[in-house]
Amino acid sequence: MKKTTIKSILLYAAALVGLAVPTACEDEITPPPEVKTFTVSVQLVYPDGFAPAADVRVVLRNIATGAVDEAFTDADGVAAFVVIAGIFEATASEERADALYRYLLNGAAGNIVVTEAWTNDPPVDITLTVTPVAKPSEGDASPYGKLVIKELYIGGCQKDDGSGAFQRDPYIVLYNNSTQPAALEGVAFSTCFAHNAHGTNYFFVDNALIYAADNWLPASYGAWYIPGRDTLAPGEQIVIAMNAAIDHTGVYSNSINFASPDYYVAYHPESGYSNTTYHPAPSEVIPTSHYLRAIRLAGVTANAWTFSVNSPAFFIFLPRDNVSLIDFSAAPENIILHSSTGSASQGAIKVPRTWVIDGIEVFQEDRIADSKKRMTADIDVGYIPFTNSYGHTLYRNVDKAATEAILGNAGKIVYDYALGWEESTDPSGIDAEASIRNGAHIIYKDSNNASNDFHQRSRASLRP
Amino acid sequence: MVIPLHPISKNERTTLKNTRLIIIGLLLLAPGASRAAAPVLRGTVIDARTQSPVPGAAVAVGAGERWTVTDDAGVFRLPNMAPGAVRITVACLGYVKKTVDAVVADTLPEVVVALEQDNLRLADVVITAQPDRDGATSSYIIDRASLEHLQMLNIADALSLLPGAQTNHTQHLATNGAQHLAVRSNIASEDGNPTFGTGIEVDGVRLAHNATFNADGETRLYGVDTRTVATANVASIEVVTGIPSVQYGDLTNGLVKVQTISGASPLQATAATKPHTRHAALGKGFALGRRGGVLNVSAEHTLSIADPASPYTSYVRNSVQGRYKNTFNKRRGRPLTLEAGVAATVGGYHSAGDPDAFVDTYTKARGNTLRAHVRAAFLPDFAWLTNLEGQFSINYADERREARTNKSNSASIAAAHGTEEGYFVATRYDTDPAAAVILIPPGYWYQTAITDSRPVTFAGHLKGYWTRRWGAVRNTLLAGVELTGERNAGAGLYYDDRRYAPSGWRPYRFAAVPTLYHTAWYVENKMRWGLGGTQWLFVAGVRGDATAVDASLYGAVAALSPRFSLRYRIIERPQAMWLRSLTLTGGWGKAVKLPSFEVLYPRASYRDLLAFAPGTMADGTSFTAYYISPHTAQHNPALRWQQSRQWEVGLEAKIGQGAVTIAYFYHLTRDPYRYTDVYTPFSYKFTGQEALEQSTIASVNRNYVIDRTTGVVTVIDRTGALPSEALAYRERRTFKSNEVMTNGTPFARQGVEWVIDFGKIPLLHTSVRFDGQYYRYRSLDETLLAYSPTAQTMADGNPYKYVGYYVGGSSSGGAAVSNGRETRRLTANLTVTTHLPAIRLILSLRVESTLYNYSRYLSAYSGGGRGFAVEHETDNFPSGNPATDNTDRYVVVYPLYYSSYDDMTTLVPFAEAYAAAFAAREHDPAARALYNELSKLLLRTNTNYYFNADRLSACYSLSLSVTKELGDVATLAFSATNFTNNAQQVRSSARGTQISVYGSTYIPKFYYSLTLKVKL
Repeated sequence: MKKTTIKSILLYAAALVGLAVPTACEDEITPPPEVKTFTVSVQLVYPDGFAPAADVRVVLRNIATGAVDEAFTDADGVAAFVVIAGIFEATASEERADALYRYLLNGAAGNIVVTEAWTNDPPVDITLTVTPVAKPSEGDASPYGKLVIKELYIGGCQKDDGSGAFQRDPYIVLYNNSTQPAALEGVAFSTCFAHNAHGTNYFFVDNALIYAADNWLPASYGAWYIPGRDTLAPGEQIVIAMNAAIDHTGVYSNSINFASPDYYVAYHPESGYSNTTYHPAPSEVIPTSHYLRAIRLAGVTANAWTFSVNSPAFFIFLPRDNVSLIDFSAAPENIILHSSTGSASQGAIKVPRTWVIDGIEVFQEDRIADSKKRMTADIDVGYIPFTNSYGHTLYRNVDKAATEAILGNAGKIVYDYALGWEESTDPSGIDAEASIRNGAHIIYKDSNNASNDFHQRSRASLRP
Repeated sequence: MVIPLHPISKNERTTLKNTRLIIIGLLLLAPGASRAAAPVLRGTVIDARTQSPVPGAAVAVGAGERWTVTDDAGVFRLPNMAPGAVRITVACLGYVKKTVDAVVADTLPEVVVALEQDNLRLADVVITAQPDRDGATSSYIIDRASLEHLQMLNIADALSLLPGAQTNHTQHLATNGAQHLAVRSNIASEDGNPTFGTGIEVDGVRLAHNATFNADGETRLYGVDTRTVATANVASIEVVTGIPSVQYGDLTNGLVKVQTISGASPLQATAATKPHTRHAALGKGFALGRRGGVLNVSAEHTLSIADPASPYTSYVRNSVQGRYKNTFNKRRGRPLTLEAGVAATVGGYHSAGDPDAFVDTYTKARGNTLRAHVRAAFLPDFAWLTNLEGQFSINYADERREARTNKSNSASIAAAHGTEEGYFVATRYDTDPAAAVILIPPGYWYQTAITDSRPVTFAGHLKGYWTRRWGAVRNTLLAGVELTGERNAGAGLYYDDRRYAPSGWRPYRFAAVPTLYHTAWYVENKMRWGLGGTQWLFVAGVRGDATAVDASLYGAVAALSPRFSLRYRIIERPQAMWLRSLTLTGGWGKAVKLPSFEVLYPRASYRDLLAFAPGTMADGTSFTAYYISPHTAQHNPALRWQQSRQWEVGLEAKIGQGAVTIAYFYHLTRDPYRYTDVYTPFSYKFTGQEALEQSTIASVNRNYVIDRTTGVVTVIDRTGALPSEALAYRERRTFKSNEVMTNGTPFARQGVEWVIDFGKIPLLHTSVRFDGQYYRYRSLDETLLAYSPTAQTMADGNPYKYVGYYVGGSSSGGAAVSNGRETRRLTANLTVTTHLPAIRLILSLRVESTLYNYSRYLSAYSGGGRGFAVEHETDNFPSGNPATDNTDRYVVVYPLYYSSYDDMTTLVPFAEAYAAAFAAREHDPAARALYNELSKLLLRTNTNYYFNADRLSACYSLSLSVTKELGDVATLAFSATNFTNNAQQVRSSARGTQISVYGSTYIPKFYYSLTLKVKL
């Protein structure tokens, strides 16, 4: 009896061990895989009238890991990379000039899938698009001709009671970077889906944006636009509070005081954005003519317009050819949904890219590896990393040469800029805000590449 | 054990020949039948090992219609027995229940029943749910040995032992929400409120949950929180999956009956540990002298933590229970048993102290319960009444939930609390604490929200059995009445400081809702007859429920629930080699789920519309005004009580050493409770800051007054220097939406369950069981649902003016792109159990597998098509392709009709009007506008695989359990769930993706349990 019992136990134990062992041993005996590399050649394809050039910087980014590599073109416009298998996107930016114009050349190629089957033949083409920027006429210092996003403050700041971040104080600063007055009427802004760069992006299909080859950008949930007929003189700016346009500093000393008659505010409770926590009545000193109007799309259920606090793809645009944005966004054919559930709450306007004035792509600094670009190369070929919750802001870099070229700036420019965050700073070394307070006229850099055009500033410019 | 005594008499044969007549006679004339003189059944119950008498053993004949309890000498006596075959069941704590067959005759000798001690020395120990092979409907019994081997933490864990069931994926009690159970249902996503429809009883006391209200925004109805039921003192659990007896009402999804320990026993101490849980318990059964009866007391402490790495969020259950039982008048054959029990649980969920949370913020939810009952069972043995049982119970739960959060704001907040219609401007709390809109000033504060819910249920029942026997026919007639009262003594949701109560809160005292009274009666006749191996059991009953709904337009309502079940044993050949027995079962029944307070007394809801928004002043305040629009929940005179109709057929066979049980069930839920909305047009006035820009009164000197009725805002100069100014306003037209409870479309669950016990392999001391379930659920809602995106504006800036009427939608909410779901699942479990009596050890290996897992969203309408495929995701018109043919396509759903603010009574067919507007849009601006606006009523999928069938490839998990007795003193149990920590990939066919089962909901996560039990 005893023998049988012991035998049974042994048999049973053996059966159990047999079930368990294969999974346990697999990891131990599998040799490390051999690292195999592949060459990826990238050919820059120039528009008519532009010859290939050497030493143009090309950036290759692994979209799964966020790892970035760079290489420079040869005389034929080809840059070569050596990589391990993965899925990549490549971007390139170049600037040329002639007597009348500066030409911004930007391009990107996505969905470069490198596997065992990779042959590198033909090379990957990056088709560059050209944005001509008229050079200033004599006595006119700015090489640029449009409104720019000068600052994007989105991440909030720390509360005074130590309970975390206060993030209902986002704002943007639009700046007339040109030499001509800029009309503000109808200027609109929005952000692309996905809300956060590292969030699920249903417009990113087969490793590419579905609108990359079409002429539109998604304006998530709708847009805000400026209804008044104000005009912005060269070197002037407007501040738009995106949520609560009040003096926050009485409760949150690290925040912003928006109680200024010069400021604008995204406030339109009748649109359905009636959440008084995000959209309280603006400060009474702000004239109602400075209230922006909302286009809130059908199906949007949120009663507050909220910004990504860490990684938006923000852009400003102006409808052209006398198209009404209200009518345009009311037409179903101009709407697309960004959702996996069939919910209409994730609608977006398909804004024609020819309407877009400026854009900025932001990635959360510690989520770059799983972030996906939402801006197309013709709007913003790069991205700017950002850390939220600590009062940081994204601030445009100064075009040093153009700013210094303005005769009236002599002696007014303040150098030794020290408000960058860690390694991110303005390479011009110019403290733009201090210079402006000193009476200088600043010209900001605008190459449609946030990686080059912006830096992370440790303090919002509106904070004293 | 069979005691053959005398051959069947001529008289009995005659009776058997007239079986049919007798059946009718029993049903119609039963109370008038007379009885012949009968012998006495005497016996002794002894311990099989020690041969000593067993006092206090319960002795029952048949299905309990005649019973008694052994005295100190282990002797029992049942006089006036009818001649014929009887089945005697003897049960006593610490022993294995034993059933013996005997034939009663005039000269019946004394029966001696030897009980085996219940431990692992026994030759046969089972650690799985055993089908009840005596009843007429399908039910499963999980006994003490199985529960110990399972190391149950929550009574919901026990359901994992049912055929094809999976191990409970919730490994601990420290979840922020309640935990529920449901029988024959996938509780996660199904219609018909399955947990609400599953009844749970502990020692015959129903755990009531009708006097509860949902949290805001919750649209499903749920059953009791199973975490509050102590598990250490559970003796057995019976799960009735089939047609329940008419004794049981207020259920549509099965019944779980928990029995706690009762009887003299040594002190038992239990300690258990799991990665998230520590558990300790003590229990003892005191024999209180010769006539003092038995008192069982037990205590339990269970502590569960949500995250072992951050052991702060916890659930605690401290339970004590006392149960006293005594039987009098045993010797005279007319025993009277009195029983009283009380069980209290104190504990609940608590997140306080979590260093990751802000200081002094927490969520606490009490899980306190108190159950008490007294029961009397009497065997008067009258000619017209065999058995009488009465019970009164009270069941109280304290589900108080307290959440303390930190708040801050740089702008003042206008918090609307008014319950009357009109325009109200925000007022400082110190000025008028009872103002309809309170101005919360800027700053930092804590908000403590308390939801005080204390449902109380008291119930009493009286039931009598009349048992007769005519030859081979045994008949038991049961009749009973019930009275149940339910109320909630809670104060509802309130805030510790009303100064900071958030906007939208309105007091609603649960205690103000009147007590709900249910009365019920039932009659059930159980007839068993048979000859040789053939035996019939036929149960027929009807139950009547009536509910008095005070202070409600529902008034008093009633429902009838007939139920029938049949068991036919075709073959009974215990000595045969192969087919030793074969039995067929079948049944049909109707059951009604009584409505809860949530259904009968829905709270009014309110729409607070911003009516005046003056600019924020330098101190951060803005005297905002709201138009408050109360939405009274509408009475639905056509509301019917949710009910189920169940069909079941089954087969049981004993083949060789093994046994097979197969059951097919079809469960139709009719009239499931569901919410819908009704839209009513109205208009209100809005005054913006622009109206103030022309004001000559300085803002610091302004007082705002809003006319409660007209909504006109007047600015008053506090200094009196300037005249008052009435401000200009804009009229806005929109809708009120009122909720109404209605009945959804019927839907069905069906499936096949099987249990195959292969018997024991003597060489290996090992037995193998293969059980499984094929389950299919299909729900398609065709309720006409109104929906309007009222928060939308139209292109002209006005609020949206159209209402769409859709065929069905989400079961728990409004219109949706799908109006149904189908799931099919085939699960199978293989349990290999090695039992070594010599070393008192039992070892089991269980393979849980999901062999087929299919789910699919549905969009269909019996009155025509619902939803159509479009070519591109933004298209609005059909492409001509089928909508749901399992091919990647985007699908659009139109409402069936629409109406507009201007004419709510005319329902315009949507598809025709929409197509016409589209066709005319180029040359007709009005058509263009209509087309644009109606497009906002379209529902669409944004993925082209939304309606694709999703088949998951098979996955499995392995679990191991060991129970070892260390002499008669201690028992050690260890189990490892999913011990291979399976990380296999399964394929999802909807998109062709691979998903790892690791950390998924497809299999339980890896964890282990260790329990030590000591008897002192």
